[in-house]
Order: sequence, then structure tokens, then C-alpha cells
Amino acid sequence: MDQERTDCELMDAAGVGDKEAYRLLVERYYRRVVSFLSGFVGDPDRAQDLSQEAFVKLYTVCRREGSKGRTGEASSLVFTIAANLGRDELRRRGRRKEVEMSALQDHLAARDESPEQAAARAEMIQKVYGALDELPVDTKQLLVMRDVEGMRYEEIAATLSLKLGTIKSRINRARLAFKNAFLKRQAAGYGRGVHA
Amino acid sequence: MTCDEIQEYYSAYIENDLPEGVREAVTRHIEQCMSCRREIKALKMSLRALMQVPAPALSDAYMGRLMEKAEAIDAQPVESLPDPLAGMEDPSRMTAPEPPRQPLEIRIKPVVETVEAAKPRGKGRGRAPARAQSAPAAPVASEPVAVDRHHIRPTREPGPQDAAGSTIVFRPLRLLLAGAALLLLGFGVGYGLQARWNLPATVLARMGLEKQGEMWLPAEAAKEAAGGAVYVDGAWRRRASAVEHLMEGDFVKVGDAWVPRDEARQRLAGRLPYADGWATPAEIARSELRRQGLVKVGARWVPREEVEALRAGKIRIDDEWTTPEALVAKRMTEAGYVRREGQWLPAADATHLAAGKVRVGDRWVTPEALVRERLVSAGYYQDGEVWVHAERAKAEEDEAQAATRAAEEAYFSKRMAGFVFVDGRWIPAEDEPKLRQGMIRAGGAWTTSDELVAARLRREGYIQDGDAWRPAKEVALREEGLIQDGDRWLRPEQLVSERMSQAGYVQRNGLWVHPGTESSRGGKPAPTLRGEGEPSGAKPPKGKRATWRLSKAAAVLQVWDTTQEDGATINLWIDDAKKLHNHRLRAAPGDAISLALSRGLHAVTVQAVGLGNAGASAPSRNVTLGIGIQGEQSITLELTSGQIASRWILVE
Repeated sequence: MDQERTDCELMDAAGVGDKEAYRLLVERYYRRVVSFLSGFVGDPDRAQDLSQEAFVKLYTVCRREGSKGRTGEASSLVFTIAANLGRDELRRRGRRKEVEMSALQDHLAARDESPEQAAARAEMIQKVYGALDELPVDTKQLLVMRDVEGMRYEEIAATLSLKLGTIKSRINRARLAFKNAFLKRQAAGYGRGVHA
Repeated sequence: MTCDEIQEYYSAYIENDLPEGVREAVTRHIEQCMSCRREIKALKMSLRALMQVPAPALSDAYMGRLMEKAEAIDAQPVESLPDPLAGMEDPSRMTAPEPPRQPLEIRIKPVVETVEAAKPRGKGRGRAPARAQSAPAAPVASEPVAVDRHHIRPTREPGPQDAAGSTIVFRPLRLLLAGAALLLLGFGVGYGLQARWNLPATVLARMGLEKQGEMWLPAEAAKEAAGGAVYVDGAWRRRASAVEHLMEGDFVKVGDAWVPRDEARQRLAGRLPYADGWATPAEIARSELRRQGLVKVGARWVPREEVEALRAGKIRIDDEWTTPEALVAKRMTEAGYVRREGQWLPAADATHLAAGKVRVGDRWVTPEALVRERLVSAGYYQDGEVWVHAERAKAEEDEAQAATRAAEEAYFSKRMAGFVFVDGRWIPAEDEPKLRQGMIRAGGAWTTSDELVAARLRREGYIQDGDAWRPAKEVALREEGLIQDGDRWLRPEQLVSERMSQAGYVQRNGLWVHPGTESSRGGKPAPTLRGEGEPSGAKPPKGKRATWRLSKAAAVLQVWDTTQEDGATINLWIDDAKKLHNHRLRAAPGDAISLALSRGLHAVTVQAVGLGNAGASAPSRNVTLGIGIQGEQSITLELTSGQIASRWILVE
């Protein structure tokens, strides 16, 4: 029954103090927001902290104005908040530190993998973060929205207030840029492996 | 398309989001260009890596912290809550477009005044007003400075002049310099006061307090603190004993650390804090895996959607779940095939098939065209709606022409020989007029068919009798007065004699007498059976014998009472059959009794039985009755009671 309630209905209910409605909203967007922020700031732990901030802001919006003036899904609002938090974080932090391998492995440990497999995966994800970090923030945001979080082109266009064609074209360019950065890191990794 | 142009379509190509024509062109290029193929492969690989970015599962602890913060927000009045969207674009809000932003104006005023940041005009969710700041003491006029979210820049247009009319334009650098000067001045004044008078320390010392580190304490306490003691539960204690005092009861020392007793117990049991409680690592792992939507299948944890997809018979291709049928359909469609009646066909072939064509080698043709081709190649040509074999048609035509020629030759040779063709046969030309007249040739002579028949009948012994032909012998017998009785020809008296004898009559003295009647009548004269006016037993003369000769197949005999008195009764025999018994006669011929007579000679015998109405009172009276053939002549008999009379009637 609760799954059938729209985002606007949940926002209105949360606005009058319905914690269950707020919990449902958080559950609905938690994984998407955390994976988006994780890709955006390149740090799963920090992504979780920022996601909490984002949901607190979402609750404040609900309390102040409910779903007033909105229709359909809350994804645009949630990702707008998350993207701003992510940008602030990147601006504040400057050049990103590389994520600790051990921290990454902690996040990956849940999967049913051998330690070697988990280590290999952690290394690959580290390269993904590194490659993402080389991209301009706007480019990274588009790429993460589409390919990490899995948002639809229309959703991205609505969130960023851009035309669909522009979004598609920019995402294509972002993917090519990411591919080049990632391949460069892959090649460096292989090189290390050979010399080691 | 060049490689650079193709690059624009990489994403859409991977996502199968290209229009049909463009997709074909891109596919063609990629099939031929190894460089682009490598690029696409690398792009797919890097995107797969990108999708591996982890997202930690939602934990109860996370949700608990969130709820606490929500409670804290609830505790505040809504009006006092900060706008979390301040400074953000919020495309989700369906509001009317904002009016163009006005630049934020900051007017720098002389030292005695303040600089205020005004709210942006026309913007509902503006930033809070800037705090009042001190300005340099120099007499300055104000200048508008544009503030756009994070940056401050002077507007391009000079602002309006203040009331004094003198305007000095400040640049941001000048503002910064003024602020720095003020800060330096404040530090200088503070340092001077501290160095010269040290006012706070003097006052506290006079109050009996001593400085211990950063704190001012009473002298005794300062002494204890200097000895390393700490104040716990109303007493100064050594640090170690204070710790033990605080920890004992609720805590246990594990190594160098104090741990809550319950926690120590849980940790000793191998449990870890988890979701407001304790759980073993295995339990935590299971819970987290389930929370992440994983399901244990055998020894593996598999995403629930993967299990459902597998149960639904789906397979995973390029990180997408699909049914085998859908995959086949997709691949076949990508390869340019279309499904038609359960079969996959190249698109071009399907078009041809839809148009009803059939494949012959590498060509598609309509069945009609194929049949036409085959027939033409086999030597046929179309004549209207019929296909004709050219050679056979020519042979048949030649044959027909030869036959025509032969027939013509035969015809003309016959005509030349003096024959004409009449009614399907050739006859000499001179016979044609007689044939036209309906004559036929018989024995070298021409005659009519009637003559021919008559001659033949005559030859065969027939004689023409009126319109009929009869055997000559029969005609002669009739002329002799014989009559035919079955196969026999008899004289009439012979026939009567036979019939009377058959009826039991005997001839006595020229009269036919019935022996029974003769005896029963007691000596009364036997009834005579002779024709009226004929001598008894004599052969009736030719032309007068019997009574009537009727040319009918059958006749009707009528009997009635001529005296106009009803009631006389009679018996009547025709030949030897008794037809009437005690029959009461009626007076009028129209009411007469009618009896059928067949062809031939008949003996009609009547016996008067009763005299009718006058019978008893007038016994001398006779019975007078009429006997006649309907529509023909009649005779009258007058009989006394019991008298019998007979008459001959010949029906021919």
C-alpha cells in the first residue's frame, strides 16, 4: 500500500510530521543517492554522510512547504540537493585523496567473493574513482547520474533543466572522457603489475 | 561517415537508441573499422566498471540518526527553519519563471554609517541581509556592487549618487584593504590594554583564586590539581582510583580499556554491535545481504531480482536480463531480420514475400512472372488467356490446313464428277430435284414413300379398307358374314349355338329351350330366343340378323317400362349371366336400368315376373317393356307374366 503512495503524497505526509512517510521516502532514494554521491565525491563513507545531510534537507523542505508546487517524483529535488552537497564537498576538499583500499574492501565485503576477488574489485573501483576525479565536475555529475545511479535521460534533463538532446550529447562526451581516463589508469596498473 | 562523426553516436549505438537509417550506417562503419570497434569495446568495458561503484546498504543506525535529526527539526517552529534550497536551482518546483535577477547592491557609506546588503528584488528565497560592517573613516560616497550568488562584482553601470552628490567608487580590492586596516587597529588596541594593565588576572588573584593551566581555581583545589588529582563524586581522587571509581559496577577493564559490562559479555561471545543490538558477524552478514536485496541460492548470495529473473527463464546478456526469445528477437532484428509467420527472414526477403513473390536463384519474382518465364522458355506463347506451344500449334495448324485442302479437293472432284452434297451425302446432280420433292429411289425408279408402302403392303397380302390396311383374308371372311371370336372366325348362328349350349339350352323344334325352365313351368312353352320378325331357328338374313350392329367398343343396354306404370318386375340374362333378378322397372327411359355390353354378339333374355301396380287386379294384362341401346334404336317386348323372350344384339 505504502509503495503505491506517490512522492508528493509522502512529502505532504512527512511535512506534517509523519515519520513513516519520511522513512519511506528515504528508503526509496537511499541507494540511488548514496551511489550517486559515492561516484561524485569518490568516497563511499563520505557519500553516506552527505546523503544523510541531503535527506535532512529534504525533510526540512517537507516541513516548510510539503510537496507544494511539485508534481510526480521527488528525484529531481533529491538529486539537486545531493549534487549541490557533492559540489560543495569537492570545492571544500580540493583535490581528492585516494580512497583507502581497506575502506573500499569494507564496502565490498558484503558480496560473496573471495578476498582476492574483493581486492581486485576494490582496485578497479579505485581506478574508477581516480578516473572520475580527472573529469570536470559538470561532466562527472552527468556521468554519475546516468551510469552510476542509472537515471533516465529525461530525469537528468529535468534535474538539470537542460534539453534532452543536450544531455545525450554531453553524456556521450563524458563517457568518452571517462573511458580515456580509465584506460590510462588501467594501462598504468598493468605496467605496475609487470614491473612488480 | 568518418570515425569522428561516428564517435558522436557511440552512446546511442551502445544503448540501441539510434534511428534505423543512422544505425545501419554506424553498424556498417563499425564492421569495417577496427579502430572504432576497439573504441566501442573499450567504452563498454569502462562503463561496466563505472557501474560497479558500491552503495552501502541502508542500516538501522543510519535511519536512527536521520530520525533523530528529523525530531530536532520538528522541535523548531516551521517559520524558523532555514531554507535548504537557498542558492540552489530547484527544477522540481513547478513555479512560474523567475523574473530576471536584479544585481545586489551594496552601498559603501562614510565611517559613521554602515554598509548594508539589500535583499535581491523580486526573489522570494533570498539570502539573509549582510551584517553591518564598519567602513573606513574616509569620506566616501556609495557605489552599487552587484552580488550574484557567490561572487561580488561591481555593476557595469555607475549607481545613483548619494545625497551629498560626491561619489567615490570602491573596487573590491579597496574594500578588502579597508577591512584589513580595521582588524589591525583592533588587535593593536587589545594588546596595549593587556600589556599595560593585565586587568583580568589581577582581579582574579585578589579574589583568592590561583591559575591552574588555563583555569582559575581556589587555592586548595589548585594544589590538588597540581598534584594530579581529579574531582569526582565530591572528592579529590588520584586519576587511577577515579577511573576505577567511575567504572566499577557497570564497566569491566579489558586490557587498557574500560568497556561496559554488557558489551564485554557480548564481545566475548563474539558479537558485534549491530542495529541497536548485538549480532555475530555471520548474522550481520546475512542481515546486510538480505537488506541489500540478496537471496541465498545454494552457497551463493544472489540479488533477488536475479533469482526472479532466472526463475522467469531469463538470461543475462550485457548486464541486462532478458528472455531467450527476446534476445533472439533483438539479435535477429539487429541483424536486419524480421519475423514472418514464425520464421526469421531477411527484411528484404520478407518484403518480397509480403508482395507474394517467390525466390528463384537470387531473384524474387511473382508466381505469374515465373510461370510466364518458364512457359516462354519452354516454347509457349500466350493467345488470349491460353498458353499455346508454338511448335505444336504450328503442327496442328498445318494438319488442319492439309485436311481442309484434302476436303476441298475431294469436294471439287465430286462436283466435277457430277455429284452434289445433299443432307450429308453425295448424290448425282440429276437426282437432286426428285430428292427435293421428297421422292426416293426404289429399284431404279423414283417413287413416293406412300406408294412404296402401299406396294409393299399389297405384296404382303393387305387390302386397303378405307384408311386402314387389313389382311385380304380377314376382309374376305367379313364379306362372307363371319365374325371374329378370339382367333376364330365363325358364322353368327354358330356362335349363338355355342353360347346357348354353353348356357345349358337345347334346341327343340327350332327353339332354344332351357331344360330346367321347361320343367318348372309345368308345361308352359319355353321362352323363345329368336330375333323379332325372324323365323325361329332360321339364319337371319344378311343385314337383318340380330337387331343392331353398333360400331362401338362397348354399348349400354337399357330396359324400362313402356306403359308408364312403375312396378312390373323382370329377370334378365345377358348371354348366360343373370344380370337382373326381380328388378322393378321404371317408367321413363331416363330412369331405365343400364347394363354394359361388350363387342360381339350377345343373347339378351327377359322373363316377366310381376305385373306391377295392376298385376293382381288385371291378370290378363301384359308386361310391356322397352329394351334399347343408349343413343341408338330400341325394341318393345310385351310379355305375359312368366313369359321369356330373347333377342340378338351384335355390337361391332
